[in-house]
Parts: sequence; structure tokens; C-alpha cells
Amino acid sequence: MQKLPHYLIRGQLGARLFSTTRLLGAVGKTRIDQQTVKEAPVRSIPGPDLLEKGTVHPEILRKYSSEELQVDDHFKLEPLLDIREMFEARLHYGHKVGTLNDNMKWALYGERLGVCVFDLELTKQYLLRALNFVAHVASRGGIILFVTTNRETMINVEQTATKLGEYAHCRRWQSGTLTNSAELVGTPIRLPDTIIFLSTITSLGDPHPAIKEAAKMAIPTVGVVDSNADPAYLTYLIPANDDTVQSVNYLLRLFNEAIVRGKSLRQKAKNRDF
Amino acid sequence: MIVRIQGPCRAMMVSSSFRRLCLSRHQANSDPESKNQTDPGSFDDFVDTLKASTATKHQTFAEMFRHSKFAQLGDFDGRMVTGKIVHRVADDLYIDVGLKFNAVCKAPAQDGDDYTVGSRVLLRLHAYELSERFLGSKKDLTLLEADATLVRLCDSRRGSIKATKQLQKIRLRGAGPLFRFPKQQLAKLQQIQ
Repeated sequence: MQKLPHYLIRGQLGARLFSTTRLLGAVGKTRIDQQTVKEAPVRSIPGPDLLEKGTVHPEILRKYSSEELQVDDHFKLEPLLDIREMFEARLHYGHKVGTLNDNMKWALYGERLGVCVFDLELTKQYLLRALNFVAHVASRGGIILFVTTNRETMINVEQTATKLGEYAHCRRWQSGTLTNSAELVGTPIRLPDTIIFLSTITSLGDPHPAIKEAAKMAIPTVGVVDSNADPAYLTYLIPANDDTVQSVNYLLRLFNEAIVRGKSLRQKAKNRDF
Repeated sequence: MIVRIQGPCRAMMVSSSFRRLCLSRHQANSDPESKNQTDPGSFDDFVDTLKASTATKHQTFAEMFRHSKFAQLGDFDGRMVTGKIVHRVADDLYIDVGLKFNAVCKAPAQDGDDYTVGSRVLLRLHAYELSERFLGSKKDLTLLEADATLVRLCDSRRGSIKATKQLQKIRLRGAGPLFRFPKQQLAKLQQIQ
């Protein structure tokens, strides 16, 4: 067993150890539909060279992760995702080609008469990955923060978060909320373990400041990226429409279900231990 | 919500179902001994087959998109669409046409009160999104709304504005024991809401 460097251990009362879930959150090429053979996880911490390789190829760290992480869709969220439902919730509508961000071309099915259209087959794949991640975070007792600046969907997001017992920040983001939390809030403070962006663009058209702040604080982020959004610094991307109310409501329902499943698993584990 | 399925798509649907029907009928005729096959003779069965074929069949996203109303609309400029008013702020109506963005139109001066939230209106669409490239910028600037002209009201939800205002008054004053409001009227207002 190797000793973890101190900067990887989250400093607070009852220190939380750096979880391997964050490592698997790095942009990887693991396909969700290829179910891996369930192997017994290895009970040791990988060396620094393996960890470094793992930032590019997270699959090699899989055997060092816990049992729940050996399977891609541990929470069985795949049956919840129906492309027909996504289609009716208008998840495939993008902005016009003139506003297209070059780094979002990979997610588009194409462009029709100037309108970008998302490939929902891809959206489903990425959405499944993001939902499972959120469920895993919830099952570990993680704090989830919902962020959006879209006026129409703001209230729904806040309500969903409150009902789940999680947090939401849909108002003006004070610069340094995460990076300068010691000064703005005080110490010791527990920062969110995941931030879910229902919209990555502020009302002014700029990327949300919380994205870079989360990246600086090594907080994994889940972001719904539209065709005009920049996918940079986000850990889990969901290429989908973020402007329509129906689309956001559909995504909120799914996040709600994922978090509920994660928390119920945690509760079951607690009950079992007693 | 936007336009009815018309033209080649409908013909395609009809022809595939008809072909299936003809095949089954041919099979029934060629094998007179098979009595377990039902005779699809009546027109009602034919109509049912049409409905069943589109709903139950598993479609890929490509197929869904190809047969979507969005694809059938084609060029947005000049298309007549129906929309539903989702929000009203004084004279401004926010209308949901089934696309990404809502269209924002002004309620007319005459009978403007009939344009209540929940009413259906007829619009002439001009643009899917109001985005324009301005001098000096690399990307378009978007207004996050569709461009449409209000034509007429299709189906109004009258009395909703009055009901909303009355309910708001009740909520502001509070439903305490001192406030007396006829129970029947209150129930009626809440039903409309």
C-alpha cells in the first residue's frame, strides 16, 4: 500500500480520501455498450506511473476501483433512456450554424437549412455515462450542485435540487466561490463533489465561470452542452438542447432518478451494515 | 403541433401497409385450407393497420428525424404554424411553436385579452432563431427566440386572465378564517386555473 500525497486528500474535519471515481471521469474512450467481464477488483493503490497513464487510458485503472465500478451501467439506467422520448422532448434541436462552436461538431447528426441537429444516439450514450457517474457520486454521499442561468428553467432546477436534498446555484456567480471559498464563506468548508450544468452559457453569452473554477478545484463536472457551447474543462458532456423548457425538464427527471437510485443504494448499504 | 403529415411521407406509409395487406390477402387466397388466418377484408382493419405501423415500429434517430414535422417544414420563412401561448407579460405573448425557441409577438389592440396563456394561435413563421453575424465578430449573436407574425387566434381560453387575477388576490390576502369567499366560486376559479 502506497501513501497518498497530502494534496490528494481533501482537507476537512473527517477527511475524505481522494476517490478513484474522479480518475475514471477523465475523457476516455470506454464504450458504454461493451459490458466488461466482472473481475474481482485488486485491493491496492496503483503507482504514480500507472496513475499518469490512467489519465489518458482510464480503462487500466478499472481493476483497482471498487466493485460497483467494474460494470459500466451499475444502476441500470439504460432502460430509462428512450430516443423517442428524447426526440419528443426536443433534445436534438441545436442553434443555427452561424453560432456553432467547432468543438461541438462531433456531436451533430448534421445541419438542415442552417439548423444544427444533435445525433441522439450519441446523446444517449453520453447521457447514460453522465447519469451513472452522478448516481455513483450520490451513492458515496457526495454533494451535488446544480447550476444554470437560463431564466425559464431556473426555478425547476432549484426545486428539483431542493427536493433531492441537494444544492442549486442559479443566480449571479460570485467570482472565487470555489477557488476563494475560504475568504468568501469561511473555513473549514466542504465544496460540492460534482457540479451539474444544465446550461453552460450565462445570460451574457459567455461560458459560466464555475466551469473553470471547478476544474481548478479538481471537482468533476457534468455539463449539458448545446451547439454554441464550449465543451472545454467539462468532465462529462451531454450534447443536447439546453434552451427549451421541455428538454431541461426531461434531463432533470433523469438526474432525479439517478440521484434517487444512488442514495437508495447508500441507504441499503447502511442498513445492511447495521 | 406544426403541420399535418402530407405528401410523400404519407404516401410511403400508406403504400407499405397496403403492400403488407395485399400480401396477407394473397396468402389467404392461395391456401384455402388455412382457417386460422383472419380475412382482412373490411376497410376498418386497413385503417387500423395504418395507425399501428408508425407507432409500434422501433425507429432509429435517423428515421425519426427524416419523418419529423421539423424536416417536413423545410424552409421556415412563410410557413403557417399553430402555437400555444405559454407566457404573457402585458402585451407580449410567448408562443411555443414546437421548435427550440418560443416566438414572441405582440397581442393585438383589439380583443387582446382573448390571447390568454394556454390559447392556440396561428402564426406565420419567418425564422427558427434570430441570430445574425455582426461586423467584427467571429460568431453569430443570438436573441434566443423565433421570429413569427401573429395571424389570428384559433382557440381562446377566455376568462383565464380574470380568474388568475382573482386567485392572486386571494393568495395575497391569505386564506385565513377572517377572509370570506364563497366556496363554490373559489372551487370554480381553481378549476379554470
